[in-house]
Amino acid sequence: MDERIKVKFILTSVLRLRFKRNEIELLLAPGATLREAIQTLVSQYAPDASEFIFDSAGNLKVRCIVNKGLANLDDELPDNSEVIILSQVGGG
Amino acid sequence: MSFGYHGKILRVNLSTGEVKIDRHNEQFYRTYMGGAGIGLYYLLKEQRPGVDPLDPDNMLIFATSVVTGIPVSGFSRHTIITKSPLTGALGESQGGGFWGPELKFAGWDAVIITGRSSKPVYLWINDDKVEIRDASHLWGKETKEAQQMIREELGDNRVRIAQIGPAGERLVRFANVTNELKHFNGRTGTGAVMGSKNLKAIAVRGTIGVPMYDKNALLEKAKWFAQNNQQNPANHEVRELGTSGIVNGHNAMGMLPTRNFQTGYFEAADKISGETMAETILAKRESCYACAVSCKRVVSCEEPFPVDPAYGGPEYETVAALGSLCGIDDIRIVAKGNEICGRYGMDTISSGAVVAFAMECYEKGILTKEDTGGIDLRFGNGEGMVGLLEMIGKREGLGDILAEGVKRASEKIGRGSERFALHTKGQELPMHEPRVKGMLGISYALSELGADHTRVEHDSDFDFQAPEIFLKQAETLGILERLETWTIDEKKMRMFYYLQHHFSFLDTLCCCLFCFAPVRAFTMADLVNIISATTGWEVSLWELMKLGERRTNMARAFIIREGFTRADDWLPQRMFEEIPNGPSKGRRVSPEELEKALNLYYRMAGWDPEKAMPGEAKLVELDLGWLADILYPERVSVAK
Repeated sequence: MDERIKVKFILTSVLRLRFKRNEIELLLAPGATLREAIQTLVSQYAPDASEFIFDSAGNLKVRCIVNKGLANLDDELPDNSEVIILSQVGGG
Repeated sequence: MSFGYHGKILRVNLSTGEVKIDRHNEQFYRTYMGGAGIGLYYLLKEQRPGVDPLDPDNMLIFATSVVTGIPVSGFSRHTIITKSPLTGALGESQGGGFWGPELKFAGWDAVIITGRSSKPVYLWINDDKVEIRDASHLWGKETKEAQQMIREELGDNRVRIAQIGPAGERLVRFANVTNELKHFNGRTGTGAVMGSKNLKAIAVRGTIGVPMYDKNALLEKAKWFAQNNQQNPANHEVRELGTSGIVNGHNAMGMLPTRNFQTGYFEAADKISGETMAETILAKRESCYACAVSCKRVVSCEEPFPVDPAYGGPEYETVAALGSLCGIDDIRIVAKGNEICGRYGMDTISSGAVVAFAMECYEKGILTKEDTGGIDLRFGNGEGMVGLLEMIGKREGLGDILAEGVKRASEKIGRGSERFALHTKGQELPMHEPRVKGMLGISYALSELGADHTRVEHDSDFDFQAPEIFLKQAETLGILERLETWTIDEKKMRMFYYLQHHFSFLDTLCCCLFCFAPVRAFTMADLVNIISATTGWEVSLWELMKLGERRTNMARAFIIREGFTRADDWLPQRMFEEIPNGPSKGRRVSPEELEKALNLYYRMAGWDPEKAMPGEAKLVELDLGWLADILYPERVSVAK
């Protein structure tokens, strides 16, 4: 039986252009954190998009809405999580 | 020799045809620097208090700054200042493009228009030659045709033209002024003031240039920015997707104004997003004068309506105002609405807001098909929105009422419609949700222009998920802590106070926020160095913050003089009601907290908390003793 957790990423803004798709589903090991999930996403689908997601110190340059709420990079993701990776949300 | 400015302000009286020059010394330029600093100096010193905004005596001022027109990104803008026909408060609006730099190249720092011509005219400024020309044949023309006719008439395709469309001629109270058909002084109805003076356009051609103290240093800055600005996430996104790249983000956080602010979540947001625009109707990206950001969009399509790319493409504010706010889920229809507003010369924020107001009135049974001329005006009816925008531009039927703005329209319609008229001081709310962005809500309440989204950096740039680089750059102002977006507590008010004055000096200098806001690629130290290299002055961030504070106090003094009171510093009732669904469900502004926050602000500012009015000592501290003499005629100056 596959015990991996399912995480659906919804991509917006420049990431949609970099990944060339709107949504990506990943299967990850149980206990995977948001950071690990994003790192897996980047390495598998768009390694050159890393600079748009993390700064040189490893901080997020984007924001994530996990299961309709805000989350930290070290939060563990439950099975069937939905992660929306957002662009900047300042003024317009 | 002066650097950065010419020391010449052009004055044109359209009633008499008199043209003359005001000259000011270095102290004047260093104190007021440009934009609304210069504009408010004239409004407060020369304009009759209580003047009707559409009266010939209302001054219409086009101002650049001491840095406008230098060959560095972010200095393409100019400001129009007047008394607003939409609000009766301060009329002030910035526009980018090419017109401001051209005015500087022609040797002028500002143009002040007074009076009213007996027939339609346009002004032709060709370096130091100034001519008032007949515009009878241009009156009634849409902006594209008028621009083409003026250029043909003057025999020069490089003439830059600031003009009004038919909406300005018909005194639509949120008519704008446009240059190059794609750049707008959008808000507060400055186009209606231009229309009231029978002034169709100001055409400019300049060959004199801008005197710069250290041109090489400026060119180095320009080169650095061109090579590096895309490392900044906000700059990168705005090039890739335009300002509407934030649509999906705002929606995911439950703060995308939807169906006349009934909620902050639009189920079809992605269909009107910057991503969808890029994938469907985007034709190309463009820039303002000398800018390496390229935030401007040009769009075109044939179905369901043909959209002319000459009018550029919709910004975020337009996408939300003509999209989610009206329940429209088709970016092509939003683009058509944008084109109509460009053709007639109408502010897209207020245009979308009056349509959304009418839609809610229709759905609530306050307006019927009899009122709408047969249009089924339910939210989501794109054809209805397009038709109504045309009616507003022509002032036909219901459009004639809506052309007055939501405040006046609701007063005329009555029957409880006032509740759906979302404005502060008479200006329609921009497309940002005060129930989620607390500091932005404070700025809506306080703004001397009525609701405006460019008075302060937005809360979400400094919350717990904002990129580290944003916080890092704001440290220069002493902003060291992340705060939740929706709060308006003491810490947030301190953040607001500093960021407000920061934005105020950027506006005074006519700087583009997409280059110089705290979260953008240029740092505050860069700006200080650029101003010094342009003018030869050893400016500091402290001096600039005082410049921003000075302008805020002058603006406040102006609206107090025009009869506004503390009671006008408030938000529409809907903001005190909970957002009913979506990610921000339950968020609301507490009126008690708002009251406390405003009280704290007035005391921080050195204002009388009961009158919301600048104190005498504060005015003196800002070198505005002459203004203290006006506001406090009984005062005895220490120097007297």
